[in-house]
Amino acid sequence: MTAPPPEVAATPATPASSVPRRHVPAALRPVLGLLGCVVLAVAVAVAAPDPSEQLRRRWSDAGPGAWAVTPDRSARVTSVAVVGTVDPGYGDVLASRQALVVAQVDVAVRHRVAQLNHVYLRTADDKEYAPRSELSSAGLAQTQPGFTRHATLVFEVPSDRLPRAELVVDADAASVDGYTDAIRLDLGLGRTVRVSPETVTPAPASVTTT
Amino acid sequence: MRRRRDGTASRWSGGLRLAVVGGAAALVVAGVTGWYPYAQLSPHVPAVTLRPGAEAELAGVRYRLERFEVAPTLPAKDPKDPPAQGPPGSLLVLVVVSQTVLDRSVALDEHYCDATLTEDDGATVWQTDSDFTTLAARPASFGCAGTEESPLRYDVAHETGFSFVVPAAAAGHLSARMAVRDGPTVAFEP
Repeated sequence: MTAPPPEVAATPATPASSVPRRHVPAALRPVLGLLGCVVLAVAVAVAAPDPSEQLRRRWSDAGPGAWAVTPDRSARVTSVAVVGTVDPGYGDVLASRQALVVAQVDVAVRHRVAQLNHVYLRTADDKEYAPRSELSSAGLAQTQPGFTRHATLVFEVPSDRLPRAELVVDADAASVDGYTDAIRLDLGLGRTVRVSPETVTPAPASVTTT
Repeated sequence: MRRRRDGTASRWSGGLRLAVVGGAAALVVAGVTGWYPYAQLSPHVPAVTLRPGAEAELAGVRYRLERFEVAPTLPAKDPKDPPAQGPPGSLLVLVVVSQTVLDRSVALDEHYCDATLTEDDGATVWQTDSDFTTLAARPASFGCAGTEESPLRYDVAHETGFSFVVPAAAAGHLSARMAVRDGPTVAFEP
């Protein structure tokens, strides 16, 4: 058995016209209107997604030895060695406390000249490493359409960061970074990487017709 | 000012009206500033196509195609050096253009140009080579504005050389284009 609802004393309705309203001075109304627009614009700008690099790339992926293909270029990794010492064949031998990743890469170019100036190693925790510049003579460089450039790239990376690292042949670095294609190549390093004590001499870069 | 039935002025009508007008004006200004530079762009359609020996006068400059060579090797500048050659399976292309500036309003030191080589369909574009043809016998000027040693002068023919390296498979379908800054685009065919 439920108790009857308590009686609520009815309060007389207040006429809307009699509710006191705050008065906004006429001179302030345009300012408030514009302020509202500015607030709306700021809200849209803050809420819009960040146009990060991930959003600007259409990635083409390939495993070790396989070609990754985009409309303007293709690339593959033909061999990878992880060593502690690299002998460039001239000057000083490069010995590192970290790991030296020596990757042989082929890039075939079509339609437009490629600068190939934005190539790096990316680790699983999203760190990026550029090739060692003192070995740039063996590296990738401007390549004309119809030709394939064969190059050796050397990266110095802490060995604990190497598992599942990949080589990125990104769009050419330019003043404006637009939406475009890029290549990710699996270096096949797996979950555990052992640094070999041997010394490697990078093969010189070369160009052949595709 | 809009008024309600009871005769009082709408509280926000003035601000909203100004916001709408201001927003529309901002959109118009943004649209015009974006559209105008785009409308000023013109495609680099060649004004004329020249074959070896032919010439044309465009915007106060006379252009003449002197040579359009396609060969596996080019003679070296120094006879003691071996001939210039590209990678196996490639051909070298040398396009020599003579320019004579006739109009004094053409600024000689700003007469820049960019040359490219294309296949007939334009789908593949080569830029000038700076690796394999540097030692070939060719004009000293790599660009239209001349060099310190070989400056551009009014009424004097000036030779410029553009060199390219292409795969041999593309050799039968080539044409070169020279786009002059703020000027015409001239096409050259062998």
